Amino acid sequence: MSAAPKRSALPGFGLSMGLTLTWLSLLILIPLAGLFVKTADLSLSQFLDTVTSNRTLHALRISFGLAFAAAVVNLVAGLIIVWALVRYRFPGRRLFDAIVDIPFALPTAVAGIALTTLFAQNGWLGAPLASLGIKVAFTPLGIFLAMVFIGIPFVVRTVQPVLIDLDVEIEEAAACLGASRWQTITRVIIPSLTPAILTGFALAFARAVGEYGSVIFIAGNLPNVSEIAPLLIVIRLSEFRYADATAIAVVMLVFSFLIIFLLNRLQRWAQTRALAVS
Amino acid sequence: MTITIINSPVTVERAQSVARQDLHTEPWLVRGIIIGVAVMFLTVFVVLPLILVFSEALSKGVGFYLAALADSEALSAIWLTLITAVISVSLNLVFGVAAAWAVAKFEFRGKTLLVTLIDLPFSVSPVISGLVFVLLFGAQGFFGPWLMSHGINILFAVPAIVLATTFVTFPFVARELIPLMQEQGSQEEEAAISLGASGWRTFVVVTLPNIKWGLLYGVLLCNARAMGEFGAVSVVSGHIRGETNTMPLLVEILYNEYQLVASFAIASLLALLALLTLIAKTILEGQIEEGQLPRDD
Amino acid sequence: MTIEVRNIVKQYGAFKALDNVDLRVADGELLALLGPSGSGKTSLLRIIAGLDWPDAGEVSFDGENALARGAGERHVGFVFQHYALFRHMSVFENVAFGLRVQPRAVRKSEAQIRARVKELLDLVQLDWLANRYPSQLSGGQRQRIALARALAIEPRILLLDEPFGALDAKVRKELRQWLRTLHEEIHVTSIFVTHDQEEALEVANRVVVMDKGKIEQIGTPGDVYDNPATAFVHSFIGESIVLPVDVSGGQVKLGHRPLNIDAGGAVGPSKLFVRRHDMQIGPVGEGALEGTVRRVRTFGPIQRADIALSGDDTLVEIDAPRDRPLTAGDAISLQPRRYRIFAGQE
Repeated sequence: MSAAPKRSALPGFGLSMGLTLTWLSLLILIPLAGLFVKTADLSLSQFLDTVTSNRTLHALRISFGLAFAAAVVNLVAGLIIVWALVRYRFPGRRLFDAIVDIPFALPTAVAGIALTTLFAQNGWLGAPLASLGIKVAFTPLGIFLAMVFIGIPFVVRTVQPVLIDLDVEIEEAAACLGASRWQTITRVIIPSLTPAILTGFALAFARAVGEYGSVIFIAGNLPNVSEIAPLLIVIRLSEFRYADATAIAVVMLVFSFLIIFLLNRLQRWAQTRALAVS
Repeated sequence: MTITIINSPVTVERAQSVARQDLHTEPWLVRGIIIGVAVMFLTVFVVLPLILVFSEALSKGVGFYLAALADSEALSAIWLTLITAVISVSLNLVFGVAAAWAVAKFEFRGKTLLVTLIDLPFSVSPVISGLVFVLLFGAQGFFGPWLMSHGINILFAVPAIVLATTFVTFPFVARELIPLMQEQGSQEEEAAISLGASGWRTFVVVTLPNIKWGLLYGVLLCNARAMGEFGAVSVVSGHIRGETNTMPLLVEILYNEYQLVASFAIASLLALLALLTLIAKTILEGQIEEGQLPRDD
Repeated sequence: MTIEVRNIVKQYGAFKALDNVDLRVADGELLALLGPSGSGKTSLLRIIAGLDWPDAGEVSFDGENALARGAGERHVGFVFQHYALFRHMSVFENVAFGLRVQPRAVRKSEAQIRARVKELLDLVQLDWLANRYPSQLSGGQRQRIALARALAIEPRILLLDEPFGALDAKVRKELRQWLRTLHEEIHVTSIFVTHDQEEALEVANRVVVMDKGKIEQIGTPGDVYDNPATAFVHSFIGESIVLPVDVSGGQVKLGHRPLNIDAGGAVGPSKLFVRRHDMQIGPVGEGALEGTVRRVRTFGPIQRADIALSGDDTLVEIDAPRDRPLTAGDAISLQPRRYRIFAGQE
């Protein structure tokens, strides 16, 4: 992978590269490769049977579907939060800015039990919602809310630096050319933020699909109703059905690779756009 | 929470000031709604759960809270969490610095691929991160039978917990350092080398002081994640009480046994860790920015 | 110390940064590498310093192969474009760095190091800044500290990459003068890279003009200004009037109009280069350029006039002395006093 660089004035390429590649291979690449090798224990039809069994399909649909919906909410809410944090001054702004990172920093198990207690039928928010006839905890809606929680930082943190760096002059130019404020935002500002918005969306989506800790407490974990794919992997493992667990994992992993590929594309797109502008 | 909007145009010169502000901002009503939605959203989803953790933990009084933390199972979980974090953070610290040096200071083919691979654990579900080690070291795994016949325990023991944690926290240090070192460039190192300093000396005396805040930042994030990792550790730990339970695992067990206060007590320690990490992060970000020497006047 | 560079080639992907470059630098010279960005001048400087390696070619110092040595063993003082001061070290420690990292066997004592640093700070007239940090210095001060740091190791060669590039105009002028004086004082073989022709012509003993990885001309400042060897040098150094001409049978023609000037060996489509102040104004006559004065501005000792050449109305700017008054609307002829014709119209 790494053709050595032409001779350089700085030393240490061999050492640092050697260390990096060894560590990367031992800890990440070989174990992940093992996963794919293990799937070979199943014949293709067995693999397909596992992956397309009712329970697996349901779990995958729950994980992917709700993660997508949560990412959409994160996109919209993230934009509103970013706009408020970057463009307006209000009391507590810096505090709220710092708070955005909490879903990222808070251990998922802690988030899981906290959200469950909050939205349980006797919880601070669960009780009023229950009186409206809305049940959150132990339903797919609970899974969705937990996924929204863990996805909050991604859109905010990817869009924030871009919005801060956005040249005020382009807004002034649009205004001078007669654009209304709304036109300036929808036709000038949002398009310049698009690569960052999509990146944040993809990150939030990927994180929610694979999320385990913050979801399983609130999920209820009823097969075919509120069982997420990562939990099904854990269940298969506890039943010593390693091959089945591996098959589900491979499907999710392939999805992760697709997201990574997409993100790289997005980044390249953003860079060429940035170059074209400057 | 009450929100007051600064700059709200309520003066006599309202019309004029509206016209002036129109260029860069929205009408005050729109601003109010946006700020309101943002604050509401963050309050419901982030502030409330956080407050709830501490209020539940202390709901039966400080004495009960402290007793829950002093429980022998709690202490053993805290101890295991600390050990795991120290080992995996140290390993990833060495690796992260090496990777950042290779990526930031040299040009080579395949650099983008390498950076993507370093980031890989971020995109893998924690459950899968645990699963890969079960497949390697479990009874049906590649090395499982051999390990068993030699009486070596990796899975459902501390080594697997450390491995899974290291896997999950692998990118943190490197990912913090790479952009920082790329931005700083190599000129200072080149200057040191051309003045006759050795490579190691250059790294210790020139590079390290320049990246120290970024490095500390990466270590803190890495540590927070290492101590809080749940999914991956849950898969490989085997949940042996008093032996292979880390703090997040103990939170789950106590919660499922309806020992809510004890569960939230352990959780509050982890939440405190998260809060301290964020405070340190805010401080360090200031330091990192200050550390950047403006290039021109 | 003499430097000899032979057949250096350096390629970055498809881009040829240096294309077969040869250069000899005599002992004690102050040489300027002058060229537009991308001309390869900085690449050449970094190769001499040992910060980059060429794909082919040789570099020798006093006849000894320099490429066999790393940057740290060449005893070259390098001043970086953005100074590359160690931002966490005081000015004093920055200058002392090269002395402190010497092998124990040859390292000076702490007292000697202090004395040497003091001496260098005196030399750059900044001894009062010893305890400051780089971020507390102005650009010009950083520049001088970077120079003092490079001089601390008693380099055999001093290399400066765009030494004044990041400074404002007034400081640049002061530092130019100062660098010249300093060079006369310490007399170490020095090369500096610049894209600013005025800087090169004013400071250097000799100027190397580069373009697209090749050396276009090497000469004294007077040489490269008065006798540009190529069309590129003529247009890059000083301002010139450039007119497309056609040469056949020794006859130079602008459009259909024959000019009374010497083709000097050029044949076919060519370019005529004339400095603005080398256009002599006369009455209308045979073999001269003709045109109409469009606009006149006077400043200082000269007047500058836009002349629309008859035929296709090409506008040229000329500088004329004030004793020959020009008014808009005058029909005049222009006779190049000194000029060069280079074949080709690229």
